[in-house]
Amino acid sequence: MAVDPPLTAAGPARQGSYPRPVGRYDAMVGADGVVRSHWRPLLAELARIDGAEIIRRHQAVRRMIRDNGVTYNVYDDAGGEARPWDLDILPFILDGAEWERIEAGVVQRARLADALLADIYGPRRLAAEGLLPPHLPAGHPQFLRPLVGIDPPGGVHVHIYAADLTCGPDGRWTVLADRVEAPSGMGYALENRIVVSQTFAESFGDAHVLRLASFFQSMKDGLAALAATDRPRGVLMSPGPHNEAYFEHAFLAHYLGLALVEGDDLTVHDGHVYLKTLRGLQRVDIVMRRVDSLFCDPLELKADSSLGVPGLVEAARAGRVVLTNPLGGAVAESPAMAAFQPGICRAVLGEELKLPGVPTHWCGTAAGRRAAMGALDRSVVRDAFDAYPLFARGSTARLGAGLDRAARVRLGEEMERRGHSLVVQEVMPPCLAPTLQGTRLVPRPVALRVFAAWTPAGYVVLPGGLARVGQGDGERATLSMQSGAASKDIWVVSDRPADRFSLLRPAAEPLPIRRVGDEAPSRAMDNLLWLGRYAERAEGMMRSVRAVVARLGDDAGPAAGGAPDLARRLLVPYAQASEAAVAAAEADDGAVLTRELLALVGDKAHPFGLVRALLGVRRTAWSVRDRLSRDTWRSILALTSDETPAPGDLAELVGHLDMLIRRSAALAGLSAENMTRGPNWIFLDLGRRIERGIAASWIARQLLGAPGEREAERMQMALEIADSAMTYRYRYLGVFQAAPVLDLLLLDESNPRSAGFQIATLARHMAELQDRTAGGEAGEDPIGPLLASLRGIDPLSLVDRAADGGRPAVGALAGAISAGLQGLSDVLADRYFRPSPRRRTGSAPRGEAA
Amino acid sequence: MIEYRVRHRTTYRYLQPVAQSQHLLHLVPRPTARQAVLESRVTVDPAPTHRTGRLDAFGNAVEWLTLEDPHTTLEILAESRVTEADLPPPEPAASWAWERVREALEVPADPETAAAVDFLFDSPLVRPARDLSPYAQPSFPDGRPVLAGAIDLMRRIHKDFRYDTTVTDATTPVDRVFEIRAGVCQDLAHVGIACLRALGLPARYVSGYLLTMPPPGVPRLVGADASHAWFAAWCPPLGWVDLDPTNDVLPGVGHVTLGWGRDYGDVAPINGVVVGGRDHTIEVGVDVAPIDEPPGDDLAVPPTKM
Repeated sequence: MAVDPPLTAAGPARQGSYPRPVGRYDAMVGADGVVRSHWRPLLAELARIDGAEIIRRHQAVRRMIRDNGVTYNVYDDAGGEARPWDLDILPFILDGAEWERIEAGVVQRARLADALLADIYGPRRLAAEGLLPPHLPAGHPQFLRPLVGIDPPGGVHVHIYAADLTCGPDGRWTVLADRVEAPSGMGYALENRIVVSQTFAESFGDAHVLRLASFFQSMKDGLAALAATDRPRGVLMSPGPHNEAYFEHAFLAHYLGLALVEGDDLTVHDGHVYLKTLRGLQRVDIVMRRVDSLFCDPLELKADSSLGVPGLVEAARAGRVVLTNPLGGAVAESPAMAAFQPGICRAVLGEELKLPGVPTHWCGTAAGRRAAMGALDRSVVRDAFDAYPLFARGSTARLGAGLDRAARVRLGEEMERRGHSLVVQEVMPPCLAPTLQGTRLVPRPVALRVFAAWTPAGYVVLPGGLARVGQGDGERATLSMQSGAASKDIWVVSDRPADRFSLLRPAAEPLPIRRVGDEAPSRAMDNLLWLGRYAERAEGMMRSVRAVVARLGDDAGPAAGGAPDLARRLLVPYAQASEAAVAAAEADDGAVLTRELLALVGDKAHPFGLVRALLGVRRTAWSVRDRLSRDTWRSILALTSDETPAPGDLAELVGHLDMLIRRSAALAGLSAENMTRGPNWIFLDLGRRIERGIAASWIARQLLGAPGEREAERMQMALEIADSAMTYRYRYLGVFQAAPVLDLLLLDESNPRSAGFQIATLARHMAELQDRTAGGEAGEDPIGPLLASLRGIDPLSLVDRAADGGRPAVGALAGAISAGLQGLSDVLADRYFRPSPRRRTGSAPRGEAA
Repeated sequence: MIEYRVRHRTTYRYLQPVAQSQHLLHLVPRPTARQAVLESRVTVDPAPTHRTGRLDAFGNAVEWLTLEDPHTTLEILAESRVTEADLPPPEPAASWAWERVREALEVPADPETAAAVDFLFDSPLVRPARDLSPYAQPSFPDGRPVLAGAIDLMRRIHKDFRYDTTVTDATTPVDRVFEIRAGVCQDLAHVGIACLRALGLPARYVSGYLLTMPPPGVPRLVGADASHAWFAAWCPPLGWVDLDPTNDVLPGVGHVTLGWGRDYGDVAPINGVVVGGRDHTIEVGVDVAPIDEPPGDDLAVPPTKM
């Protein structure tokens, strides 16, 4: 393979491979074309390895990301739910001295944002003193008036702060945007670090790259210090699996030891926030929220929000919960704020702003409008309160230079009427950094997101962060992940080997030993139950279809092995095969049935097909991602991956189903062997057992209860589908009789595939749940009586035939098992998940004549 | 000076028991230059588990209540005694030219002006996608006093928009009302607000009631059986002036003020979230009568399906 060798370690950039920056700042190469010294260890490593190795590492990274399920959903993306996180494997490298300047500036900005919000939601002195026009809070769609006058615990208005930064041609860092509403990206930064540090382990080790972990510990300790109790319980409130950054929510919740919840999981009583769990309501002291403030309380904020918790504002008012960040911070993010930050910084902090913002003109005054018009050609015009990144989807920004004469006249008129809602901001071309395109280094525009967290001793900064790589070049480069930008790890290399942040870590106290440390939120348990059901249902379908397919290819013709009869009994009732296809196969034309089975297994669009069923498994697993180990998640991805090509003929179909059944068994085995026997496992297993018991009774009814010729053949099929053929042969050799077959399928509690085994296991699970949730109400469930009646059945009593040749007792027993198990599922839902739809009520229709 | 008794009863009936409910109430009249509040109380049945009162960000009395025991009905009865002073109507010519008002808001010179800025911007229920200034502008020729312009705007809305209780609901956006040129008092108030703000002038939403039975010889006003709403324009140096586009009048002794905000959402009389309950019906009865008249019959109003 032809490989373009990367830059030499010490020498200047070779003009042929990496361009010298012109009019822009390049993170790796100075304007003189010389590689900056802190990039040299990485370049040295790149120089030592060949192109094939670079490609191998790149693929390894992609695989790691896919296997870890790192995704970022893009709304309206035709690709569907989630797509893999796009990571460029080259880190963005900063040297220690440069980092210290950035760090100091970010700390100052976090303090400034905190002071600004304390004033806006408090005494509003800045407006009274003329430092901040009252328009800036008043006009912001997320200035939340119900929060006015609420002082959050400890008076802290910003726990987590993020700045989007880029570097100008003169090497000065500029803040493109402040993020305080619910800054995202920390989790991705951590994941990027895990992946990239493994990819460039050598350079990473040599370069004294500052570590990230202690920042998160400091952040956690800071939040704990603000909570009202010594051992606070924290949750991470997510909008749910459909949110673009749900991976990060699950990842961070897991990393920080918070329960991942949605608004529905929380409730407010008497000014306290509670989590609904299996053990009833548990007090919550810290809510790290990833739901935008506006959506957090349908009672006081946005009435039609289904994401929030009614009464959350009242809880904030009572001061009994640490909301991270406190509600309403978006008001400090508006682009217009940049015009007033230098003055506010001087007045409030007594300091000059260390990291300047983008030059901004607010059009709410005559002077501002004049300056704005003067700067128009090198600027964008945008809404003063625009919440979207520049040029991202939804952004209101227009390039001033692109406005013709008529548009400028209209703009002038709009400024006269509603100038207070407009800003003109000078365009900042983002700095460049090398990205790996194949084996070549290519400069791309980059912005950094850097994070700070509050601690009692002041803000600390994550020594690293998330670099976002713009897609285009030039002025309109979009740097929003929502618009599909790629990301990079950020390395801060220090000549000091010590981890300075470790100083902030408290002395390690021994952790109390906990055996069941799980909050078990009801919704998560509900989802685990359904994950178990869906996974088992998919496997049962694979087994049934495989049994049909294996016989359809019989040498003696499609009908010889009994395939059409089996399809009629098991697949037709679920619209998984058509009666017409079955009838044709009986007449020895198997083509249509073959086509239908290929579609059933391989066609994404089949409404009752296997691909859909597996997608259901994956979606449900995704919604409890934080409760599944990486290995479990990987085995789910392997099972549900659509990368294997759909089978094209009967032989491929058998192979494909064999492969899927093996993967399915691997998943079941992993959860059986690797999950601690806490509520997570119990609910997953409850789901599996319920579904398997229903399936066993269904097969017994369809193959042995219903009348028909060639029963001995069907007995073998039933045993095969229920994976019990070996046991039977071992016990009864080659003699097939109804009573022993039914015993093995329905009653024998030593056969892990029988209905009896499932029911006995379910009874044990229910008893254990009762113990665990002691204090919750004990109640009747249908499983005890079902087990008792099953144990009283003589297998011989099942075999009597009716006039049509069917066995009515089998049908009756199968019906009782199926109804009992469905009933159990309902009981679980009532007892533990308690569906509680919320409704809005309001005043009566207004001004209506009676 | 006339003294009124105000009674406002809201009854919710739920098809299934409600496990928990939370409500925010804006049901206590607010004192104004022409209105004094002598007495006010809100009775809730069944008794709430928690109940707290405070002033909201606009200075209105608001009450937050939760019921944590299962219930199938909820009755909220607000009773007040207020007096309305018969003040002379404001003189339009005494207000500033509208352009001067807009200019004064750019750099507010005093707290009253700074407070008016709160009502200058789009709000959750008044966020028109279209520019309404072409409709509003004819009421505001160069140099016209702002109150004269606002009155003209009120008249035009009254003339151009049909009062119709069947075409909108509590969440109908202003754009839609503008398109169909019809709605109830809340919608017409929102249109007035949107028009003033489109020109860079502050406007607020006023929630209140009308006298149920007018004195002999005076026609009964529209909207007298339930909550009523109108808008107010900021007309320095006169201050805020109320305008009722539904009835084309400057509110006087027949209008009782509950409170004000940027739009209906800030001062909805009752706003609630319940857990469970399925469908519900609401009955609302409002009675505003001079104190010397005997109380009206029991506010009987047929249920309205929400």
